[in-house]
Amino acid sequence: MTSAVAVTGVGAVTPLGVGAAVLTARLKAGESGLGPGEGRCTEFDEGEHLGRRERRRNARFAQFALVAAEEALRQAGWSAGLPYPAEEIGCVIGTGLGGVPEAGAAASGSPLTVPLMMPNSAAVAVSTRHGLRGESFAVSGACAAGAQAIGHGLRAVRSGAARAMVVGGAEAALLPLVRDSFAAAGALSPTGRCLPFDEERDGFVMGEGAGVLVLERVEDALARGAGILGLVLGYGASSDAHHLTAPAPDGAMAALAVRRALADAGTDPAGLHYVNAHGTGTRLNDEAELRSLRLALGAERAAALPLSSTKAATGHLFGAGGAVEAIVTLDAVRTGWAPPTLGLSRPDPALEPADHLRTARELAPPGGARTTGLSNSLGFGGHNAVLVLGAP
Amino acid sequence: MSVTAEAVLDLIRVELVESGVEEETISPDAKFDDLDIDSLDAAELMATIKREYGVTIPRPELAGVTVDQLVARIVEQAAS
Repeated sequence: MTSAVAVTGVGAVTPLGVGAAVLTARLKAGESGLGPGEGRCTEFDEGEHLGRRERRRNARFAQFALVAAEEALRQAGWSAGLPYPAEEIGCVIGTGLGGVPEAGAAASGSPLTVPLMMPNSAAVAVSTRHGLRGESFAVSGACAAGAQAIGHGLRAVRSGAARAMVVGGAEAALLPLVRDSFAAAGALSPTGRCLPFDEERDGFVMGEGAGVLVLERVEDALARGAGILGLVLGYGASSDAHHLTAPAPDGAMAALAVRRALADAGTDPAGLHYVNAHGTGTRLNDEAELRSLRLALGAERAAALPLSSTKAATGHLFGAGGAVEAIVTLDAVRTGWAPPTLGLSRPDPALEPADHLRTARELAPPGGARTTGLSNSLGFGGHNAVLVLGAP
Repeated sequence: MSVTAEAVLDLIRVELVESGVEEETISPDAKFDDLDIDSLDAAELMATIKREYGVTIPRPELAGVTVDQLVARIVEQAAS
């Protein structure tokens, strides 16, 4: 077993609103952030949060990352100054597509076109604004990128490569070009509904947003009197080596990632209380994912473990999904209340059985143990990234 | 159609304000180097000037130049 890392701040921009608290509260209230066929961050007003130059110099995904990071660092108590030497604080922000050219400067071949497109531009924005001078970069494992960033942060803090890490994911790709491509690939819901695990599921709904977390050593957080929101206990990853977009139907490598995450956390299937599934609502993902959970956790435990996909309410946030869902999972294990898979009415009997949450539910008391959740992220290209997250 | 100094100055003002420069600091005798801009802002402005007037001004030649001098040079080159 390797040591846990403390989460001392979280921030989110999602279709449910600006802020991590509004995200988790609305999820548990059974509210949806989806508009017609997509999850847009309609509450996000860049002018409210960013100066003119920051707006101009950052694509929408990087703007989301800046706002989410601001919230996370404020909550961590870093606003008045960094608690550690700047050179020892790293920053990794995952993204699937980066700064997809929208309009204006980005789309017209200006000097800003490339800097706005760079997938690392969100990490640049966050590290520059806060003066974080440790290693920084983007990680880009498609829809697993946000979880990969947190996994990297966990490893960096554990190994001592960094004293603390600002990690997360960001995505803003609600463009006709991207929508058409996903639709043509058969991944997007033609009916514009996201119904993970339901008999009637027919694809995902695109979302956008960002999630950012501040990670530090538990002893450091305690020493400076910071509030600890939860723990990153373990991370596991694997690759399907199967297909450019489709998950491997057998779920074997996704299961391996779960087993690795549990081993890294020093726990086992009996030590879990909740699963925040990747749950995109595509026929293929949901089938392979539940199969992988059965493989990794055992049929009995997999069937009995409360599980939900919050993509039903946020849409698919791609490279931001893993980070936003880690924040959701941390809230669930901290508060003991997990959010539902919104709109799930008839779980598909062809899928492996699971204890689907149809409404928010109080998780079983851990009986002296730490309430612990699993957050699954399975990206296009077969990137499987799994986090084990615990109550403080 | 000839390019007027007023039109060029207006364009420069609009571009620089868009880049985040405080409008009152953009006076005709303000030195370009003293404005709150960096290399990307300057590159953007030069790209706009090239697009609008077909005038290319090499970056090193911006050193020490005032806004007024820049405007005059653009007008002159655009006319030639």
